[in-house]
Amino acid sequence: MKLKNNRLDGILPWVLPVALIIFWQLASTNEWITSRLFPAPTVIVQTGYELLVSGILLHHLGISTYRAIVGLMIGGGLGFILGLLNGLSPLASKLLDSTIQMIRNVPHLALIPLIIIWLGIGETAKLFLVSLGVFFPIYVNTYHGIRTVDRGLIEMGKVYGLNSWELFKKIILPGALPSIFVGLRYALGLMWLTLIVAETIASDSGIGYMAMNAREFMQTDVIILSITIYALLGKLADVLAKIIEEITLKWHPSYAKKK
Amino acid sequence: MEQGGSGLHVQNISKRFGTVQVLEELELSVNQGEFISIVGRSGCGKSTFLRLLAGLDEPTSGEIVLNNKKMQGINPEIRVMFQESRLLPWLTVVENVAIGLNSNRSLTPADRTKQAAEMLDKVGLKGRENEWPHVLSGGQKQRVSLARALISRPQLLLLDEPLGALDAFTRLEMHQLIYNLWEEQQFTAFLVTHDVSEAISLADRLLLLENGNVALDQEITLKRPRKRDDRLVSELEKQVIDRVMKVH
Repeated sequence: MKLKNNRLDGILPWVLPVALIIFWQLASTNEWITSRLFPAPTVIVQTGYELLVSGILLHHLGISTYRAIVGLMIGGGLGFILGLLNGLSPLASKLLDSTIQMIRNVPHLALIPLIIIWLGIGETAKLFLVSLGVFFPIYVNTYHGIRTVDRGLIEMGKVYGLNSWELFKKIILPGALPSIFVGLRYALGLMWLTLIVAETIASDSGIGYMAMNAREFMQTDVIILSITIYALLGKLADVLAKIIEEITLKWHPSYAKKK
Repeated sequence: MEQGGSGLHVQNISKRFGTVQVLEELELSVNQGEFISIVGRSGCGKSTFLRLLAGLDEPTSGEIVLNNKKMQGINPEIRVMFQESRLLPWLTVVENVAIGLNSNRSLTPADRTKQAAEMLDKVGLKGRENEWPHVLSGGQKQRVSLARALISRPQLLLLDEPLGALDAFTRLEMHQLIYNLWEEQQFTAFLVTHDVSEAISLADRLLLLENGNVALDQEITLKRPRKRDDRLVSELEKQVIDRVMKVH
């Protein structure tokens, strides 16, 4: 009985998407809907296969992934470092935090017109936008994580003679890590979002460009394929972050393995 | 007791926070290996006194001398057991105990782990070395905390109400454990507690703090091991409690 329930639990989340896809396939092949606007799932898979074989898909996918990773490293790295700095030093925090919080309230995509004028439509502009997008969630959560580390633990560390570096390495950083991961997962979402917008508005390569270009030729199958790829990439990034989180936070009660 | 000999000498210390005078010219001499209990109402300055001994705060005036040396800041010969266990949740039990060896830079990591495991055995937690702190009960956590404090064989152990959050049975077990380790290691102990019978059952000397100074300095000569239901223990307990209540 228990086993049956478990199996049912595993299947249930898939029922709706699979049913939708089957219905979509039927609707498209039977011409209940215009197949030019809603190409059948089989057609999309076919297109995906052709683009893959021709190398076009991998070319665009590679460029998008490159932009995502480099942008995450730059923006996330800066956010992490500034979060550490302001979390650890009250002076730096007084000097910088209110300015950063002010800039944070500007939706970063609102800067696109300005960025195109300043940086053109080259790689720099896209990397800049992605970096800006991921900077804030990582900054805010690193800062918050460091500030909320249990003071009692830091005091304990001092009594036991830990120097500043050991205090940081053994107590402050591990204590801030759960919060930093929240920031990272949030940043990953913003990373793809920013990239899609940047690539659709001003670009000549990448998955976003592939979708925009397909619109010119009414290739709905390519557009839907691009959207699906974004969804898969987003999910993949999230799963990766979750795995890293589970490994690093294995001490945490919420991640403890059930024995 | 002559000044500056071995043991701990508290010379005229005062502590003020803003306009609040917490300790006022407190004087105290303690022999090496003595077990002192400090009782008093909330706000009498007992925790502040312990923090000064730990080197976590500086006295406004006066000084503390340990074995002829004026104390300044954190001292590896002094360990503290806090009210909460303050274990690092991201380190295993044995790694937490090894933190206590941090001041000894000459040990290899393998030595540390070995010594920490031995110390865990002494506090009755053999076999739990590689568990995370969050799976332990409150009493077990305090055992780990005690192991961490005593692994470096400090001269002075400060206990800041470490058993306050534990249930009555666990407290009795912990009394026994603390007493055994004290007999074995011969450290000087200061126990801050609000439980007078706990203070009496463990200490050689009971101090009552009031208005920032020692109001009562009572030697306890009762034979050990002391039982809670012993007539002499309960008489002394009643005396001390009456004395505490009298002021207010």
